Amino acid sequence: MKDKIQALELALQNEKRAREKAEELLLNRTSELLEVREALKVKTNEYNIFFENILDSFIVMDTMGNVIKMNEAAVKLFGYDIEKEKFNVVNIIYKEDFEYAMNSFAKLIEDGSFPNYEARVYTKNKEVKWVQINSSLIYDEEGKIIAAQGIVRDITEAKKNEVNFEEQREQLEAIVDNSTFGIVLAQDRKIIKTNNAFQKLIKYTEEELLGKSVESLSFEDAHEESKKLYAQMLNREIDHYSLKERYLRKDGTSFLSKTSVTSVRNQQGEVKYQLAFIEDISTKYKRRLMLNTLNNLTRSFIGKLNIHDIAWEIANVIAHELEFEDCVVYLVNKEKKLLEQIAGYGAKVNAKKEIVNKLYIPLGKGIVGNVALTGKAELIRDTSKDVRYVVDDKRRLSEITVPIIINKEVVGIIDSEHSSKDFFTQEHLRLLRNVANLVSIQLTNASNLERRIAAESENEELLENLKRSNKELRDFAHIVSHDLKSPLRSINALISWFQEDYEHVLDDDAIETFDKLNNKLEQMDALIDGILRYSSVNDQNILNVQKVDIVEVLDEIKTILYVPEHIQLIYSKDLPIIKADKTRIKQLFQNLISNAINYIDKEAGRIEIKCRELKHYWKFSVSDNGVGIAEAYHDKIFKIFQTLDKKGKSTGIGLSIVKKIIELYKGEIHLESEEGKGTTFFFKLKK
Amino acid sequence: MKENLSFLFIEDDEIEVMKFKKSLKKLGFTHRILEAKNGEEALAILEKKEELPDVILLDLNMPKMNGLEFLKELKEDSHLRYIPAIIVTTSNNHQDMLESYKLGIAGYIIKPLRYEDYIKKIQRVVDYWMVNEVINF
Repeated sequence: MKDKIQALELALQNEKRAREKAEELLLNRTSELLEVREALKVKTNEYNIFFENILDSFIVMDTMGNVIKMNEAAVKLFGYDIEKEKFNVVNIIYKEDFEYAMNSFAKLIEDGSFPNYEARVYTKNKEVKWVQINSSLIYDEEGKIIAAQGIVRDITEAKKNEVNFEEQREQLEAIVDNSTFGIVLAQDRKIIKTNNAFQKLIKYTEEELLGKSVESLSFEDAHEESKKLYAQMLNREIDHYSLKERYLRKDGTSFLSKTSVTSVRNQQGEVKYQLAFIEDISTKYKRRLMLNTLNNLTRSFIGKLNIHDIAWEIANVIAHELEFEDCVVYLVNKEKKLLEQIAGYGAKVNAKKEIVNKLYIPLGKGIVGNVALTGKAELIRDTSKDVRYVVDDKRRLSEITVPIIINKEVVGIIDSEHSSKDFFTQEHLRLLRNVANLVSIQLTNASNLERRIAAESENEELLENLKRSNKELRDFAHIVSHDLKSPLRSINALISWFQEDYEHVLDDDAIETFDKLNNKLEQMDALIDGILRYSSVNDQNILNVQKVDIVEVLDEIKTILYVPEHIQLIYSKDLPIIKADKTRIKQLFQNLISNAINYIDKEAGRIEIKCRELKHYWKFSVSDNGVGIAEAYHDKIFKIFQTLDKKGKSTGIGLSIVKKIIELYKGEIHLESEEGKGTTFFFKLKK
Repeated sequence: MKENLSFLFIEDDEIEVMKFKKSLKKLGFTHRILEAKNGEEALAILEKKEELPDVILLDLNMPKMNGLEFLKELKEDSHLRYIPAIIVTTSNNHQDMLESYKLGIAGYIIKPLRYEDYIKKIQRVVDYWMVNEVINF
């Protein structure tokens, strides 16, 4: 029994030990559990403290989405309060965001957390709010998911701002892309962004441009300057610079630009980006260049009157300013039907400004010869396709040919060739046409001027000649007065002495002969006097403007002239006082009256002088009842040395003097006459 | 007043000289006549100052020194300028007359065509100067 007892005791002991052990284990476990519980308690407390102390909304929901815990902020945010109502998050998901929400939830289950969930929710009062949620799962002791917790942030405002920013970005991009300026954003001078305008301008795509260095796109000419300016920008000396650069397009062509570069700096003030605005100024520049060329030409034409001088100016100015390779001006030789090169620029001209291998092109030959015939300017894009092309010093691929036309006639050609195809533009053509017009105007003016100068010098010469001949005439008259009159006087004296010395031997016939001789002398003397008076009518040296009383003049004439008794001189005392040179007026009336006296054949002679006042003239008439003048002679009698009476004392000068005096006073004379009855002279004198 | 005047007659045409001399003779004058063929000769006579004329008669158109040139010289001399100078010419040219009077002349006689008219004119001139007082040096 003892053994049994012992065995039992032992078993009991074992059992007891095992129990103790289990109890111990259990105790341990319980204490562990207690510890965990305690810890959990602490943790929950911590959570609670945390909940209450965070401003952000905090929710805990079960796996079905039912919110089991939420803080004050969450209540505020969602408008739901779990202490008063059920709140399931699934119900508040914004329709469009549902899929995203579900996916996000799946991800949360899978990964245990999901950061930065951003979606819209409906609040209790149907407001849509943007929320950002950072969530994680809560597990039980067995690691089973019991809940999910999330910190919810209201990002509605921020989202709104974000939308605005997006819009603004879009707007900005629209501006940038639609800008007529090329815009390039570069970092360390490497392109990182370009706009449409720049891509169009330079003919590269955005991708092609990406990473390209700015310099690789532009001509070397401005590189040094741009490097210098960029260095200054890096040194913070400048924030902005601009320069003229020529850019090379993908297709090999180029354009001139004005590039403005602005620095974009970081907070430390270091250059982060370079923003460049590129304006294509080639058209503007071209237009200005053309205008300048035209202006310069106009200026250089001043004072140049012949086509050779002008041609050299054209060739030089055009070629030089428009960067043409050459320019040749041709002159049309109408007689030889040739075009002659008269001026040039480039290969055609040597250092001495002479044309090398001067070319003579027949009218109609080649492009130049054709233009000379048609008078129509031509722009040849590709001379290799034009059969008319004539090789001068070398073959060039494009050509521009413009005629210079004066009075619808081609007088010259302006011609330029270029080694590349398509070099010449419509603008060049327009410019050259303008130049040709300019030349035409200048040459027309020049020839007009030449003609005028010639005419003027001719006039001057004529005037000089006239003056000279007037003076010669006066001098001649002077000489005549002495040299012709003196011998007459000597002859008369000699006759007298002869007559005195031989008085006793001379018979009546001899005496009559001597009388006739003396008469001839008197005629001669009268003729000389007449010529002298005639020649002095226009002598300005003795032309006075004075008041002339016609009555007084006639009274004086009466005393000078021998008026036979049977002739009556009739004039009214009402005759006017006119403004003229008295001597001339006296000569005028004296000649007319003595003429009348000479031809009165009636027993009772009548000479009547009358006057009528017209608006601008005095109209006088001198009538007689003499023999009259046949109409055939009405013109002839005013011509010098024309006399109708061969035997009398008439010299044929009197009426010439009359006419000349009347013409001096811008008047005219005519006569009415009836043969046998008398004559009336009418004459007008300008007041 | 002088009964006998002395005339300096400046004339290149010998017939004219004869006319003058014959006229005086015919008129019964016994005045002294100094003759010069042109202005130069006349000046030479005057510059001698041995015998200065009372009146000078001169033609305008003469070879070498013509009448107007002679008059200019004459009028520049402080003594000789007071001798009355009378132009005797065929020229009725206005310019000539004007120039002559500007330089200072005592008369301007136009030679008439007829010898008899000439004598009449000479008579009047001589008569006139005979009743004039002239400055004697």
